[in-house]
Amino acid sequence: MAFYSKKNKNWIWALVFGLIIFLHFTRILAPLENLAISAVKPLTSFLYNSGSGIRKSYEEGQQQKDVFSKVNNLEQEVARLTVENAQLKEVEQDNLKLRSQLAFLSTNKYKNILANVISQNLVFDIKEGDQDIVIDKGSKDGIKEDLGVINEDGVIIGKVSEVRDNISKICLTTNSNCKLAATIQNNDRTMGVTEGDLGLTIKMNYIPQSEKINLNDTVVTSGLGGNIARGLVIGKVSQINNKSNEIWQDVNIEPLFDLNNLTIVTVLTP
Amino acid sequence: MSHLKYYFEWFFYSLFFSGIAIVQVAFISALPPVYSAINLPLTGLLFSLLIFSKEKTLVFAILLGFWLDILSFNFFGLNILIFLIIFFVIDFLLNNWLTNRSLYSFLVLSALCVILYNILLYLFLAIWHSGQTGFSFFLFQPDFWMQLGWQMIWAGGFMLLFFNVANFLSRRLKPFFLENK
Repeated sequence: MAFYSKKNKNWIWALVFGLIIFLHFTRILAPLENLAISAVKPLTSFLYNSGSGIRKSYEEGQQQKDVFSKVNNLEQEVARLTVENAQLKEVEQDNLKLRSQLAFLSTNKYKNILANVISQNLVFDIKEGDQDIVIDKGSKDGIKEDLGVINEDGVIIGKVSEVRDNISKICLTTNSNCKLAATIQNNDRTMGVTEGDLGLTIKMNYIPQSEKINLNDTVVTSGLGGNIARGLVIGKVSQINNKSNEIWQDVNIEPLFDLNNLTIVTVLTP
Repeated sequence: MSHLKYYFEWFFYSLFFSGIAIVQVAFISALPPVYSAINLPLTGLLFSLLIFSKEKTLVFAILLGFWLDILSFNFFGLNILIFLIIFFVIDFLLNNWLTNRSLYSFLVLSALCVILYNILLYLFLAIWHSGQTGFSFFLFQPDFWMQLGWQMIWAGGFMLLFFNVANFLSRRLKPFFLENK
């Protein structure tokens, strides 16, 4: 049977498809698309939270075996942090006094846009290490590409990679395409660029061998080159890869956020 | 009154298929790896082809594709196109080869549907992403085959369930065991 005939109406559907594509790219369909997305935002947010909750319980069940050793480690970490916190409070007090004396302006000029996560990437990693989430805020809410995104603890989780009217795609710091200008908080204040590694950890490459880096050093954003604020925590150094016969060394950074806990995020806009 | 019923049916089923697409995007994508391989829109489309008319199913295919396209960041039209292709292939198979509407035919169809869907999706995405750094062809990625396997298991499971439920509720689908008379 011919594709184009009176009996066979398949060509009508090809025409319908072509028309939808045409209406989309000429933005005639945009109001309908925006209305549809706006209408389902609360539902998608609720569904994502439910799915994320199930995933979290599932993975917690898998990890229960390690929980006791983790508790011990965490207790030690809490003790260490308590001491560090006390010392930092002293430093903060000094800092406040000095700032007021020098009439420093607040360095935080960033505005916050709260957003709900509505989905994760639908297809498996077509490019190795791709890891994205979609949030329910877009260009109409003031979101632009390359803005930093943090979780409720203030840890940077990624940056805006694509924006539509009502939704945006965030590439996570563990995504190989997500590059951030960063500083390691060691004595040398080592600077470099972080990028995701296989969707699991973060890497910082091309660090000169002369730089002294320690395990558990905190890595923060450097604020260079882009719209991302300085001092946002990216993660902690978990592995240092250096060989004496090479010019450069690189480090693995453990991200300080859990993908399963990401249901509400904050986009920082300048 | 019959007109009202007709429009109500259209409204109800459109809402239902929109719901399937939204659940897929927001809920199933967030589930643990094995469960996130569930492909509800595909199962819905296949089952729609078995229950509803060809025209109705085509509208649902476009509706499913439309929702997936506006809620994801792949190029617009990708999902609509894939669902339309799948529809025409399955329709052709149902009319020419798998004319016996038994459970076994439907299980074969759901397996073919999953294979076709994944190959088309990742082929189009491969073309879309070709030339970008870090890109590797999907057929060489173990995750692709793993996902395909799980999707086939889920699709087969859902087909088994829905087929029996539909058989129980209506005689539209033939029973899959031959009666010995």
